[in-house]
Amino acid sequence: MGTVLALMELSRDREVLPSSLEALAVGKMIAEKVGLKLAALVMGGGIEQAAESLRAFPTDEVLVVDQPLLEVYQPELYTQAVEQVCSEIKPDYLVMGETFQSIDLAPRLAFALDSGLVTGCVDLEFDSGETLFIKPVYSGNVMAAYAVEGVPRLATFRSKSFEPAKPGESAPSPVRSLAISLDQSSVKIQAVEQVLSGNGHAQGLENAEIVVSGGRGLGGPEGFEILRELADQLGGALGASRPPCDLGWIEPSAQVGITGAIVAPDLYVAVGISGSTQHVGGMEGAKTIVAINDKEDAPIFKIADYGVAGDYKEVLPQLLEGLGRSK
Amino acid sequence: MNIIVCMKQAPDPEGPRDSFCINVEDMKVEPKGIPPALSLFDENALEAALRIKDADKENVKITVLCMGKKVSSAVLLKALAAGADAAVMVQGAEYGVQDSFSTARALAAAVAKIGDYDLILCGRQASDSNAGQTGILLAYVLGIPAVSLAQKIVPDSAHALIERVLQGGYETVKAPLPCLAVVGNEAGELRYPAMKERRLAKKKPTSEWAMDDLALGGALSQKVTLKRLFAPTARTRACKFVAGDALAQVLREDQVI
Ligand SMILES: Cc1cc2nc3c(=O)[nH]c(=O)nc-3n(C[C@H](O)[C@H](O)[C@H](O)COP(=O)(O)OP(=O)(O)OC[C@H]3O[C@@H](n4cnc5c(N)ncnc54)[C@H](O)[C@@H]3O)c2cc1C
Repeated sequence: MGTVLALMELSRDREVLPSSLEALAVGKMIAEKVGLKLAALVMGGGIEQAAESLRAFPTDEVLVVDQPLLEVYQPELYTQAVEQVCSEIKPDYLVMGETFQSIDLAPRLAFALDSGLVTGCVDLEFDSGETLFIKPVYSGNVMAAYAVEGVPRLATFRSKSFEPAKPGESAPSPVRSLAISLDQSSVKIQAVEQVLSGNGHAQGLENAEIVVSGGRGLGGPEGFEILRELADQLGGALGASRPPCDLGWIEPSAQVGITGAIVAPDLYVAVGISGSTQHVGGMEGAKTIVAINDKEDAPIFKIADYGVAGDYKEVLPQLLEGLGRSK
Repeated sequence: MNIIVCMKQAPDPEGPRDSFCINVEDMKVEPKGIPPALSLFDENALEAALRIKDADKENVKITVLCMGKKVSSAVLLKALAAGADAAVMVQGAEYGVQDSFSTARALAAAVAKIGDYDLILCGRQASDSNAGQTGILLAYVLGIPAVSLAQKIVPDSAHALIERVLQGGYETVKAPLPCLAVVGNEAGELRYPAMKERRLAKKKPTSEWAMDDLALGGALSQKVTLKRLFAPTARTRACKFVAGDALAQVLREDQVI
């Protein structure tokens, strides 16, 4: 019986990322449909706890590669490690969440394993024995279904496209440690310095229950000051469309959209954002969407639940005042 | 220092959705009323190259490599006007629906034909396929190191210091030259050329090659096959328009906040 291998990624505090648990759920789905075993693969240095935590999820096996050299992500060593695991396990599928790490790692694995890769998948179809990987192309304007030749079939999955795996009721899955040997002489890329904040979990933004985002319509960094007041008042995180990030009005990590953070909060407030396909792809999972835009026909209103057609410079002070008023 | 920037031509993804007409039978997207453009992240890659050139105008030479079925000269001129020194276009009807692997193999053959290079830059993902694999695969085919999600690149004679975006920050890595960097939008928007540059661009050297001119060594096998194209489900919501001074009240009444 073949195997679906789900590669688990850890945060800097060595917890399994939510996007990996989504990948685990995807792996489960493939395993059930195609009739394969499911194994979770976790790699790193000093990761007993993470490995133990994975045993609670319904898999056939948790595979562990625990090596000091893998403590931080190094592309060439990680590629070697996964390659060796694959030569032992011979998986039919290798699935991962789409993250900064897998954006780098997955194509390397595709080359090393001589397999096809589909990135950023949002859905799967099982069509007479063939697994089809569904993803947006043309930056969200068209959907494509791909089949992958060769094994393992590689795929990464856009975050929040699938419900994450939940701990199961049954006995903990067995753990197996895999010994691999890493060849450091192949390492050409050396890390010199890291400038990081947070623990490597998706930023507060991606888990926030309320997100308040500003777009090009804010006109400059000053616009984000009043927007920040609104975010504080609501107890939400501050986000942005891409132009304010590219223009330096706010830090790049605030970007929401298909090439930024994918968010699905309870409330998303879009201010001065037109509603491009690429932005909407990162926030349309929000439960409630409020849009403030001076153009009544802005596309953002098509996907909003509440809209105010007006200049944000007038609307935001009104909103802040309304929120401040006693309930 | 010779820099090759791989740039793809793709329909402008910010065009209205109904301009992306899907030809279901031939499994092709036929853009209507939107002109071809440089793929967005490839523009960031060119900008990253231009910033390297800004620091050492005399010694840095930027060649733009653009491969496709048919490459529009307007698109190439934009890259040259922005400051690239030369352009190579590789065209051929054979260049049909390609996967990232075969694209990388063909690009590697074109790079080999260009010859001398120290640095290759690619965009993070193409505006049409959105695959995000070609850059790294190209580096592996060429047997050179690859660094992805680059936001800043500072080369010296033997190495490049590259800032690579990570969750919540970035890291600086050092890679020996020649190497390849995959560039994201953090690298900055492509500069807008002055009138004079646009005139000069027409005089810059441009080579036109056919796919047959490349030493491809056998057929390009596909690892990923397109099976179907379809329109995304347009999700819309019924928007309740309210006045600015009533919004807080309405959201409270509806228990949104
Ligand atoms: C491959 C690719 C990936 C991309 N990824 C992303 C991504 O991840 N995230 C993302 O956001 N974008 C992304 N983009 C860019 C995207 O296509 C749009 O360019 C971008 O989302 C537009 O941002 P915006 O709505 O802020 O700006 P605009 O489209 O310029 O809209 C500004 C809006 O503000 C309104 N406005 C102006 N003044 C005021 C005022 N005083 N008060 C109220 N409203 C006002 C205007 O009416 C307008 O609707 C991507 C593009 C490509 C090609």
